[in-house]
Amino acid sequence: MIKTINLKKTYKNEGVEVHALKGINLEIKDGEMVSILGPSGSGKSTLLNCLSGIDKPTEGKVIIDNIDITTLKDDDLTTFRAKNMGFIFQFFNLIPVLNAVENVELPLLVLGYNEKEARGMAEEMLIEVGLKDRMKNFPNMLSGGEAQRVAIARALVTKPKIVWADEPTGALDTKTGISIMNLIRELNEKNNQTFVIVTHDPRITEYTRRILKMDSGILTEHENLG
Amino acid sequence: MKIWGDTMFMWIILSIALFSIIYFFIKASFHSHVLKISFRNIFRIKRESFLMILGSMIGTAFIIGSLGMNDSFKNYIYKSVDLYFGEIDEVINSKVSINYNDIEPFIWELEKENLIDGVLPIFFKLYPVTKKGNIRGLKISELSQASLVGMDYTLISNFGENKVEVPTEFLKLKNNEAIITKRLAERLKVKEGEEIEIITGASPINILFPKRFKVVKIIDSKGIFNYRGIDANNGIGTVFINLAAARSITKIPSNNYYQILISNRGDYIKGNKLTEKVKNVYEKMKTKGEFIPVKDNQIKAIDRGGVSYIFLALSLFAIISGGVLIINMYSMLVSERKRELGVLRAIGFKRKDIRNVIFYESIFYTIFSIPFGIATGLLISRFTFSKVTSLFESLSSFENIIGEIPLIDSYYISPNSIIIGIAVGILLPLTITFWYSHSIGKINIVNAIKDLEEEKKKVKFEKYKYKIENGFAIVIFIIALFLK
Ligand SMILES: Nc1ncnc2c1ncn2[C@@H]1O[C@H](COP(=O)(O)OP(=O)(O)OP(=O)(O)O)[C@@H](O)[C@H]1O
Ligand SMILES: [Mg+2]
Repeated sequence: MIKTINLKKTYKNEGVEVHALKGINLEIKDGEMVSILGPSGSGKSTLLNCLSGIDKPTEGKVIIDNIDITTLKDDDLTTFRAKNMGFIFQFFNLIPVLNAVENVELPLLVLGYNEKEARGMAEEMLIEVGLKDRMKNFPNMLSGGEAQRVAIARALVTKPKIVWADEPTGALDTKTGISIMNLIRELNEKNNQTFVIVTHDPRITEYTRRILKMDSGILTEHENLG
Repeated sequence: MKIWGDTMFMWIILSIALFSIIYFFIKASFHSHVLKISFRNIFRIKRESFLMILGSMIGTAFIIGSLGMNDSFKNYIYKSVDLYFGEIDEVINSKVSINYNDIEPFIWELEKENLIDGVLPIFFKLYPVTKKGNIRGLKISELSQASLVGMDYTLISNFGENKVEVPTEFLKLKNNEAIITKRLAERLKVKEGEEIEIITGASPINILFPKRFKVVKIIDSKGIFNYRGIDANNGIGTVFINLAAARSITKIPSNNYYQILISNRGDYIKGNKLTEKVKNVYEKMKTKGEFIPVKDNQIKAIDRGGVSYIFLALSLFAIISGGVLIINMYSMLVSERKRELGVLRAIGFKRKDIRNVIFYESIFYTIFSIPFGIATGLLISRFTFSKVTSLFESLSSFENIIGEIPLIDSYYISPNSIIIGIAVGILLPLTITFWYSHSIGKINIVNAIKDLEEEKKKVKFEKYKYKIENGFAIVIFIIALFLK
């Protein structure tokens, strides 16, 4: 379970304070698929980054499975992320010098899996996202949709409890976006993983059971389509 | 002892450099996924990789180059010192002659403290010398000032660090025979077998009856066989005669000498600088005569223009600019990859791993660039050196220096310098990257991932590119300056 208590994030730039998060309290249950919707600049990405621990909140707690991750040391937090979380970003974020399968197996190698085991799991995962024939392609030889599928495979290969996705379809055309969202939903239903998806596109929210709406750093609405 | 110190130092640096490379490779092999990313980045055949190698190469080239220039200048100094002094480090000089018994306690003390390789008591005086017949013919203009040296030549074989083979002509010198140096022979227009005349005093008798010597050999040598006195520039050359003949000329008592030549333990050029210690003993023993550190004086005289400081400044400049160049290259490299590094951080790379991605890569660049760096360094320094020295030769600072010093045309670099160049060429970039990659590990993940999205990348790259090109421009400018 993910829980935040009075989560705040304030940026200071040349004396000007920007309150990106103004006290967020939320709970996300295991296996839930949640979207965070809001206009540009409302603080969606900031919230996601604080939840996943790649950013530090100014105030408040982020509790995941009874651990307040804001108190973890950097190395411990990194390990916690590697074990429990997967990341999908808006822009293709593959490592350019590694081919598809090498990109996917990377989180496993970080966790200490041996190379053979990691390779096998990565190949399986790529088959699952429909990229059987693209295993050895380097990122520059993949289409946008294919690259995002590789990113999804990389995010899921460690079987993380939580997957964070910041505008996962933001750089894709509508058709590809739909297939990516279908894939995400399919995987969520199959593996009972928690998905938190940030978007400013209401169509994306149709794929999720629960919608959190954000505006100017606060949660304005919960919508349960359960 | 000192010489060992220098060599040891050099080997220690080199071992540290090599061991650190081996260490990092072994370490890297345990993180093969990190190493793989580093290694592939090198072959992302891009302008950056080439620039990285070029940058490291120029860094190494600068270091090797400055060491080479230093070596050449030192070598030049030593050569000119070697020409007139060789193994002679200090001279106890006396205008009125000095009894060897008065010197002995000092010598014993030096031997006891293991400071010397030998002493050589000699007869030394400056006299007008000419070819036979010129005095009768009143050709006064043909008189030349020359050094008259007499000694027990057998002692030379034990004077200095290494045993010296004394030419038999010196050992067989008869009372009326002399050996003269080539330059003197040329000035006097004397050939072997001909006679010279020496005016040994100012009285009419001396002038009417100059001492005659038959020149049995003309030598073109250096060091003790070319000794011209304590500052090497009073006479045209030297006349060597045997001790008995020398004594009879001035009638100084037996066991008396004008100069005691001292050779310090080991080789000055290899770094054995014992003159201060010998001087302390000299003062402690309240020895007679005048203590003259001839070799030190000579080196100071040659370096009067502060040329060595110029080379030192050049070296410092080289090392600093090499370092700055390397830092710039790496900051460019990192700003190019910031986003990628941010993604790696997010998916589980620890700070340490990020550091290593950059660091391992730098090891490859460093290794690649070393051989080219050394070659370029040698070329650059050889060139710059000849330009700098010809500049100095044309300036007045060299004018007052004794004649016939060897020309500074010979470029020289010691094996030590090459090894130090390699070691520093390895350690400098590694240290800089090690330090630099530490700060890279601390990148803010969110900002790094955002980096590309905000299209900051291009702006940053342009900025660094500008810096690097400035750096290259400065280098070219400096080279051009010496070229003209
Ligand atoms: N590093 C920063 N320094 C200062 N202000 C920042 C920084 N990052 C974000 N902000 C500000 O915080 C607010 C929230 O930003 P955030 O990126 O979370 O918005 P968002 O909802 O994700 O927008 P978008 O849909 O455009 O991605 C914005 O007003 C933004 O300007
Ligand atoms: Mg955003």
